[in-house]
Amino acid sequence: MDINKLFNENEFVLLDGGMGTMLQRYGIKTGEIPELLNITSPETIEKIHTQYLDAGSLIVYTNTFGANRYKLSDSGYTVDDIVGAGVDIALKACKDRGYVALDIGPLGKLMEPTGDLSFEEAYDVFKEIVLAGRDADLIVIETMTDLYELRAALLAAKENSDKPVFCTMSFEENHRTFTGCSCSAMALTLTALGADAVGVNCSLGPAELLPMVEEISHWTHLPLIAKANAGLPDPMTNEYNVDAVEFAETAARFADMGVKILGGCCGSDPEYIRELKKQLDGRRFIPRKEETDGGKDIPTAVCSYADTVVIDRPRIIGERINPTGKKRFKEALKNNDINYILGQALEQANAGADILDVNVGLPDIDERAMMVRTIKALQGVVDLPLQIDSTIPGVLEAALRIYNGKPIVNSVNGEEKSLTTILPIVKKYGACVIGLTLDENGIPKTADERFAIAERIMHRAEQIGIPRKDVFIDCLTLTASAEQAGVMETVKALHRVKTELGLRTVLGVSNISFGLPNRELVNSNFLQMCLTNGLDLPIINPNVASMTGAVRAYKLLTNIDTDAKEFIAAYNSASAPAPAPKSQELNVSPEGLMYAVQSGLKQEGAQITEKLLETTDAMTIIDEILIPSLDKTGADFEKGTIFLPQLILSAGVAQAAFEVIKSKMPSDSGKVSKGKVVLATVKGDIHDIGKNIVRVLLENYGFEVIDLGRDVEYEAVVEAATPDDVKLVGLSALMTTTLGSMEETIKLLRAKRPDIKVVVGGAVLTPEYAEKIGADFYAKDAKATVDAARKVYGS
Amino acid sequence: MIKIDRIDREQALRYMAYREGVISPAAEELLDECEKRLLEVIKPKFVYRIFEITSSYPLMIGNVLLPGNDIADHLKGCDRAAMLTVTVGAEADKLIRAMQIEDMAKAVMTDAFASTAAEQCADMAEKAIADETGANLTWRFSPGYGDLPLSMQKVFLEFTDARRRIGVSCLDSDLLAPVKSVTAVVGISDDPIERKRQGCLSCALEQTCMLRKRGSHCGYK
Repeated sequence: MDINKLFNENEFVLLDGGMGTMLQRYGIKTGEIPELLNITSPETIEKIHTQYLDAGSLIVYTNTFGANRYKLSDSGYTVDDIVGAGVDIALKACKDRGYVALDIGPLGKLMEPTGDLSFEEAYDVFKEIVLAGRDADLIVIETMTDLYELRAALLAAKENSDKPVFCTMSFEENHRTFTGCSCSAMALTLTALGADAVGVNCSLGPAELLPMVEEISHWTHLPLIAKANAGLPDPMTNEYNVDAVEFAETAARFADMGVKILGGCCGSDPEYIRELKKQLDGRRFIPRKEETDGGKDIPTAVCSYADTVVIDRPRIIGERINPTGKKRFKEALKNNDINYILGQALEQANAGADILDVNVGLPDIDERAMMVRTIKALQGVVDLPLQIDSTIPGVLEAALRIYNGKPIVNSVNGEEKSLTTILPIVKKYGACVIGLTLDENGIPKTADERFAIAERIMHRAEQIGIPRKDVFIDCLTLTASAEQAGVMETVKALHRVKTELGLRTVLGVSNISFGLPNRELVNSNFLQMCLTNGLDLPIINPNVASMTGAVRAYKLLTNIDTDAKEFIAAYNSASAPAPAPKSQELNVSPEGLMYAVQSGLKQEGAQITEKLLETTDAMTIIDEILIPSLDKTGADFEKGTIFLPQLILSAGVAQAAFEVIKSKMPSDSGKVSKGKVVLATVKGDIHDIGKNIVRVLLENYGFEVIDLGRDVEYEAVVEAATPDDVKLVGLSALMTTTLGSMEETIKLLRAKRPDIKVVVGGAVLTPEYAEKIGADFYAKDAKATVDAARKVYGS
Repeated sequence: MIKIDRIDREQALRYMAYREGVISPAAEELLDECEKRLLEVIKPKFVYRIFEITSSYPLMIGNVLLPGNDIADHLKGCDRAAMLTVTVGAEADKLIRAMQIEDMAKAVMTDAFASTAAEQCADMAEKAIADETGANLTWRFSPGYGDLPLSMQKVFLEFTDARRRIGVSCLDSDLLAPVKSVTAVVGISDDPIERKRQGCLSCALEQTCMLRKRGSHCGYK
């Protein structure tokens, strides 16, 4: 039987019901591994499959839900043994009357950064299952709650098998999964990545899942799947509360909605399938409009796992994650300072960006590794969809593999080489793509020529299967100072692309004013002109209020922002609080600065410092005001009269003051650094808030911190500590299980740098243990680490 | 669905190692902001399962062995026990990560508020168990207390079906993920129980507890 035929026929496809439910009836206990029955009691499993086939199931799921290398590690069996046997049993049961779906469930470990499972490792574990189950007719990836994990599984399935892949996730009543994945993000991402059918299973009963399936149906042209539980479990008895008849009646409403593939999950048994079959008998499956027209009317949208941004109105793409022309950013890239980049992301998100462009290209760094690291870190803290910006296909592909959503690729252009290398990658991972209107001959002067390139890019994209609506065109901004006559050509080209090709348009705006005075004025006027002419995606600095404001005002005036909701939300609260009258204590004087530090008033502290610098020497401010103020708050903290957040706040004010001083004396800024400290949370340990607090405090006290992050290899610590000017290494461990790593790290350090000092801290450490493993200092808290650093560097 | 409207400020301050003294207006303002932002993202959930106690020494509940004398002593006189797992969800972890970039003072506050919220969620689970059974309960006892090894986390998660039902899992290092989650067992008896609260002396962190070093405590002194 040809599985692909199923998709073309106007018939419903019936799946099976719960496997676990049946196994419990056959006496399996909590704690046992149900998949081992494939070896120890194959007849039981076969009997269950047969009962479902008798009841009307056309597809049965193999008993391999948890058959992964982690769960089987102590079982004495390999994934190959268990999955192979599971598929064989199902094949035997099905013979010519059903199809076998290789069942793949979650791995039972949480993905980074909440958990400790990396994307790459998850891919390998899924690949092993896919290969072991190669004889099945199709693959189902089910009960997923993390889109990231599901993406790893889907990629593993698509790259190691040519069988159709069904994907279902488990949603909670709030229409999100446990990890926060939304229905629209799930549908958009999986459709783009090449799933063959998508839907929901487990978590809730059919009545509760109806609205979620409805939502999913608006975001995909793929066939839909619904495999609900038999209602909700009774907390006392754990029995499910919907019987077979009621289940079938409710589940039939999925069919009304255009769901093609139906079955049951926990609590359902062959009786439920039999009733469901009765409900559907005599009915023909009528495909949804989205399925028959390829989803051409589904809105153009990009998403992270949590946020979907529909491009139905101007949306701001933040441009700040880009080293071009930014000394501080370049420095951050060279020093692997990911926190600086994350700070840039959060700042733009707070300022009103809808999407963030990510460019980490610098000639002398490993751009691919940096891009992967940056994207992983970004998706751990911001929900905004990302735009992956690089000229190197390998960098784009590496980023697209691990991006947890549907991103934008920036960019392809009209050059043959670009079209043939970039578009296939965009297609494979299902991204949206920006087409630049330039080719082998450079940027054409006229709007008509740029329009022609845009059209060519669109056709080439469509030819390899990228939907037209996922192609965005950038008509390229030239600088007005150099090519004044060209400005309107850009605007005209943009207008034609928008109105004649119906494509979304994107434009980097800030270039327009290069070389001119009052750049902000030129930028915001040009932005308004472009918006009026059909610009959908301005790439701007959202932190500049007039730029973000221009977009907001445009949406207000064009009646896109109906009832001015967004506009009022953005500006009403911001204008409300009048600046609080300045306290008497906050005058421009050493005492005023001390007061600001001790009260945690960052802005005021920075302002006073700036004024003081006019009359006072920088080192005097540091040594006679800032350091003594910090000493005072440190002493208060020791006494317990202020608590940790207050100490950090005060240190933050001092840091702001240091920043002012640094910016005023760029040439001898070296003087401000009190010395270098390498920090790491040791190998095996991934909890790093304590280490991060130490970092902030050290920086605020004027030390330069080389932060290696968490779960750091011994050798990486040694390498970072090799330069002679590093005199102190700080190591943190939270778990008794990782104290061994700490000891190993210190041993290796001593071998290479016998003179270096080591300070250790973390919840499970004691002064005695610190001494035993050869540390020089035991830090009971963050402040104590600062004290150690000051001792080592004599400040 | 359960809901937490307010976070116990006093308890949260204890987790921030607050002892005495005036909290500056700037810090006070941040505390309010952090509590508000956390309440917007947490999704408190709990699951529990009640077992018969089938052996007292060593302690068996259902067919699960809970090793160590401390847990056996703790459940003395009970005929049933409930295993529970609670969480405030993965979004809290994410917010704390973002706060560490934005402002470390806020991160410390939010972290403490989230720990407090998880405890409040565990209180709600306990109340549900008390309501269901109408019986008396012991205090909560978690893996890592006394001589009940932290490696029992996995067993607690499995027997409460926490991975599937509320999305809580366990790292290789036996810490829970999301971080702001709690597993525990409470003893159940129809007879009155002497409520021996877990104190510092039977806590695994007795020697190393940050709060104790500062002369404070986590509330279970």
